[in-house]
Amino acid sequence: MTTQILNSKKLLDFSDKEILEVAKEVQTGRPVFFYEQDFTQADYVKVMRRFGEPETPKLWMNPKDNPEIFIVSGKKVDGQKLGMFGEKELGWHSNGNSRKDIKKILVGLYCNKECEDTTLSMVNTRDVFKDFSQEDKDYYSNITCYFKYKNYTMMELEEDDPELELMDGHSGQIRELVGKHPHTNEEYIYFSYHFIRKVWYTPPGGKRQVVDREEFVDKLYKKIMRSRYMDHHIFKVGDLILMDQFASLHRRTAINDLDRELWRIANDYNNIMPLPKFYVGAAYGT
Amino acid sequence: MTLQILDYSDEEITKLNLEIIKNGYAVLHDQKLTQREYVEAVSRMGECDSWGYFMNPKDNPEISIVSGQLDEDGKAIGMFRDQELEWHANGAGRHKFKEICVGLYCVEECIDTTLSICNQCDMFAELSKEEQDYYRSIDIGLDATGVSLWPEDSDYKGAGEADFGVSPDFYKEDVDRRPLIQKHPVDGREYCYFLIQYIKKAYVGDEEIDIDKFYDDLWPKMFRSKYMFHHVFRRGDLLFMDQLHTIHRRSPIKYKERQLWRTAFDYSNTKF
Repeated sequence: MTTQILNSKKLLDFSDKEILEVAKEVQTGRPVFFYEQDFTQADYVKVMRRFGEPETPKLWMNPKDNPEIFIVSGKKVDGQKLGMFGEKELGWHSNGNSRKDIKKILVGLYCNKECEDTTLSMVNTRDVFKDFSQEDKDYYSNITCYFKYKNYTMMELEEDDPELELMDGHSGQIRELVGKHPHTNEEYIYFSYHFIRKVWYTPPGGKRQVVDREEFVDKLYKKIMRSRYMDHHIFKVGDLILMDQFASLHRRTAINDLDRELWRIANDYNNIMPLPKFYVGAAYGT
Repeated sequence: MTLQILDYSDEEITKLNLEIIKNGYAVLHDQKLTQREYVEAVSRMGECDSWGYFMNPKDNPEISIVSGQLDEDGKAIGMFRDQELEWHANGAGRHKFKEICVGLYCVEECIDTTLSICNQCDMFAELSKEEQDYYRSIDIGLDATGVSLWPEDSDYKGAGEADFGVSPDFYKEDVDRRPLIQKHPVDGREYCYFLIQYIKKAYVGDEEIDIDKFYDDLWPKMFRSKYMFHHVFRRGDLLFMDQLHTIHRRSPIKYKERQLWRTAFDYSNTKF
């Protein structure tokens, strides 16, 4: 079930206590929805900064005045992409899957222009792990994976697409499949399978063994991609979704109306919820 | 192991129905049902309709196959084809009907197809007192003749729906209008019956009002994200939705083998 807390109120008017409550709700792995927010780009950045610090890479899809925002659009002008992610389906992923040190684990998506045939689906990977049998918990907690972007898996990018250079530029990461959330200390399963290239199992007290990647993904996919763990959303103008990037994964269907435009911000939570001391300076989840 | 609807106690059936009516919908996951078992399960909630059309299996005519698939002769094996379906509800076009709950059970999934449900009851509850009084004064005239659920540019060759009886005569309608706002027979809450396309006329008292203005006024009040729930069916999902409190649409189907089993029933066997 979708969580809808205080969603009729404008986020700009939320107290710190309410913002903290929202952050905690997002960290459970369920998306939190707000409607009819009527943000300007500056308003949106202001709201997200109350949660934490946004990333600002200053690329072609970041507006100059508000570089915290990533335009998400399939539209092209004179053959040039206006935003990121294009118009095709996006497979299951979360922010930073191919990066070494993921700190921006809160993603906001605000709808500036809608397409009523495009659906965002989210799966709660914290609840999935909670419901695992003890045997599965023990097994998957001893799995390590190598994650790196590979074209034509999670998305399809043309050879001359600047986004391909960006995605290929990420170093990839080797990390445990099961991580602990830096703010809740709860376990989640990091199953951005399109990025998983290698899998290893280390038995307690034993040596690391290579696991067949295809078999591993097929088996785990069936355990995770279950309707009961999912939420779905079709954006209307003014909608804002907040999603945790450790406790959930998301996918998107292809876009019909190329005018669809979302504003994406990737944050940490550290302004409203400072990191516990033992996490400071550490890479999350590794 | 997920509790199967077939194993529900009477109290659990009642609780499920109350949830459907309260929220407008309810979803059960990982249900394992044959056609017969599905009919048995929903028959505990109420009496199913059964038309004997092309999409009703002979042994279980209470079920309507919903599919975009065509047979070797190019004929649809189920109803609703593969295009977008515009906003509608069961019984649209009729002023009186009994089957106010619809069940959809997923046999084959398409993860790119989304069912959207809009809650007409919540929408009405949030209107101002002045607006509520105004809409309470409106009667609507419904008629399914000439209505297509598919967008105008759709190719629906092979569809069997052309043979459906939809006219007021077919349904032996003895009235030609009903209030736009009515109380739900179970929970008594008021809902706004905004059956777009099917509403051909609207009246305040005996005076007919401009139908285009009527639509332009209500549309933006109704189809707001806050009143909507979206669902992508996975195999084993069983979704119920109340046809008075909600209206629904479906995005186009990409994977043509997608198949749902649809039932429409009343709540007459539920002990409220």
